[in-house]
Amino acid sequence: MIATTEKVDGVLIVVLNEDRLDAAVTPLMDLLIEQWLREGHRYVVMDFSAVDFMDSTGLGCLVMFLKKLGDGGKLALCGVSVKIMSLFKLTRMDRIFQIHGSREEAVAHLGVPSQAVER
Amino acid sequence: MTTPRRKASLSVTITSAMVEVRKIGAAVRELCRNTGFDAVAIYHCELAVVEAANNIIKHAYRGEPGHRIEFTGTVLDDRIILSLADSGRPADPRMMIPSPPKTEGDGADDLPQGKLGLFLIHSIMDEVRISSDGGENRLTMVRKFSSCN
Repeated sequence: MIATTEKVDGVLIVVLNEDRLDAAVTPLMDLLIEQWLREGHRYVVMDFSAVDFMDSTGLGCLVMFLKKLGDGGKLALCGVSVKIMSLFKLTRMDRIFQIHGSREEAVAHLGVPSQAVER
Repeated sequence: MTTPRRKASLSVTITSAMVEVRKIGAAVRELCRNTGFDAVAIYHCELAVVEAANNIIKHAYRGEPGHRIEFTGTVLDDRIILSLADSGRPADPRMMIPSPPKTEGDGADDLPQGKLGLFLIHSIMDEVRISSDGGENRLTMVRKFSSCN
């Protein structure tokens, strides 16, 4: 299983279990993202603690998720290693994604509205 | 002027499947152990080679499995040379000129979902050369140790 999920206070917490988010796993990741969107999740935290390598297809997968969430949703990342952070910086995506030090901080920064918490 | 001394070299041949690219990534990491690079610099070398191999599968072989991709890496006194060879469709040299991703648009719709590979390769490497001869395409990437200090 490439990711495990739980819902906490209206936020879908996605814990990535793969150490590599590359072109070999992004087709599966795309399917999971489609599933989470179909299920109505709009506030999402992705925990990258286990991820040791990500290429541009993995990054493209995140960009696609962000686009599909649109204005009605939010995505925050946590547990991003120095290596993976360098990819965000090289591509200037560190300006786009909310990247936090801890899961709790990421959840807090999403600012989930109370009606979403009650769902 | 002295010729740089070869300290280590490694070759790996894979077939054109994305999961196979991981074998090349492992070879790059192994080779980089002889460079003194830190973890981020090793990741960058692996990333550049993985991006190039992904592009060969997607574009040179148009996603068809079973075709040959050969990786060769060489560590010299002052640089690492990372090379990929394939026998697919030659790359258009004009496509080798990358543009930086646009991250300052009106919204997320403008963000690039793909085509970042070439930009990353050129951002990471000091030299990028492409050649085609006798049905073989070769991409050669060079990173000097001095650019990692």
